[in-house]
Amino acid sequence: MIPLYKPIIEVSHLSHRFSDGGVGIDDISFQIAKGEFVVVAGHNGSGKTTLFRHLNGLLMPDVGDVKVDGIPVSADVLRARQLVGLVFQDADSQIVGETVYDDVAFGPENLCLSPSEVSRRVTSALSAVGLEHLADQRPHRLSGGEKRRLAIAGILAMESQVIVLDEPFSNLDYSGMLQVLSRIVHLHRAGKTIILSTHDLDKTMGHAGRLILMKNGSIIRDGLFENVIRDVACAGVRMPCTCQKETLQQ
Amino acid sequence: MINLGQMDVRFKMACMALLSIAVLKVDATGLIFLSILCLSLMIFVRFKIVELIRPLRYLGLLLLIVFLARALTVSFFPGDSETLFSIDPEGAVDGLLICWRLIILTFLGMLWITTSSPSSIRTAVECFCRPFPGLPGKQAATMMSLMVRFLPVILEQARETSAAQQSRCIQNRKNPVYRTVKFSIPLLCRTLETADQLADAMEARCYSPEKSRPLALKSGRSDWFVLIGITGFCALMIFL
Repeated sequence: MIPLYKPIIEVSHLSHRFSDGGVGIDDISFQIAKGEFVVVAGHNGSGKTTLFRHLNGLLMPDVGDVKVDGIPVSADVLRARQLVGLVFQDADSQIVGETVYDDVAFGPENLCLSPSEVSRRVTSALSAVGLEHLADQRPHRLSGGEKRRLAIAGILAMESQVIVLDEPFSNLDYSGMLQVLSRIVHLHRAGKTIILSTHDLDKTMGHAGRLILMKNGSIIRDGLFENVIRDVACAGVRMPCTCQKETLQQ
Repeated sequence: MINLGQMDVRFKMACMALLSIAVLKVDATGLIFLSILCLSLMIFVRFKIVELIRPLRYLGLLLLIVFLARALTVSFFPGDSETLFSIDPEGAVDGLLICWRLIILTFLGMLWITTSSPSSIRTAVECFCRPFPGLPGKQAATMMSLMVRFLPVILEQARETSAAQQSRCIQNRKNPVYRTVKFSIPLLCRTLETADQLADAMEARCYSPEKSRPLALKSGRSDWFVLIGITGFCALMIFL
């Protein structure tokens, strides 16, 4: 079937094996349109992180192809990294700056932008995640939610069109989770493409439009969030409470 | 009046280098003058010496070892009037001078660190390396900045590892080698893992040593006056 939209991410027959011979990803294909909000769910080791690393060019496919905005990642890795921003699961190891400002400036400086442009982007990214008042703060003094928002700001400053978030709610308390979720929803409304992995689908229900289920390196279901949500148990993911209630009532 | 905090960090580095050379070259009279200068600077920047006593206790131990190594002489076959260990007056003076020099150098270093931001030190290192081809100034500067950023993370990991081991009664093991091995290997593995993740995160954000970081260092007339003054002072101390 030929899609009617122009996909920003195209993955075709992607496979990846680790150096020890284990299967990371096994022949997966899908496309993501500009502005979509996609959740990728699956048990630990199902291949979510490996898949995300291919989108950003940190891993190159053994078999198959990954295209970002029509151009293969392998053809222009820097372009792919600029277009697809990856927020890692452990925010602590992602933050490289001595201050909040320095960390957000790290990406734009690597793009060799002018100092005034770097400053503009940093200010705008910090205000988008609500951290402008902490610009001079040392990153290790931030709370978990603030660190995660800082990691997102670091990606926003690169003006990435696609934001990929690997388990953005892990190790966060309720308020931290709310802070991060509200920023993600806000970014999606602002036109960014969001790809997010999580075990806890309750948090993304009502926001995400599409759900991809992964198991043992393969995609086992891909479709509208409300259609796929009932099959999450077969991917080793807990069904959201609201869905469980509906199932019981039926 | 010169404000050490606002002084160009390149000039500050040069002054510290000159003073350090002087500390190593001068005799006791020169050390008195250098100590007075160091003490005046510390008072000038409102350095809280009392707060430094605890963190510097290990330096005290090191100084004691240095002094004893210089002052004590060992005679393996003592006569009737001799003991195994005896104090050599010349060595004791030498030891005192070395300790004195080390103390001044430590305080000069602390003065420099506390009055300069890590990013300005990094920029200064980058600046000093630039005229020398083959010296990777940008990489050195990035490494410095990462060290500053990751020291608290590594210390936190060390605390966590230690707490986790204490919760499983590591203190019942009396063998210090066993405890050191059990503590250091997991910590090293975690640190290397964090370093790997950091490298990935930097790569994901298009890391390249050719960054467009603006050089925010500016020098003024006062910086030159201080540098010339310190150069003159050090020359006097060394050559007179």
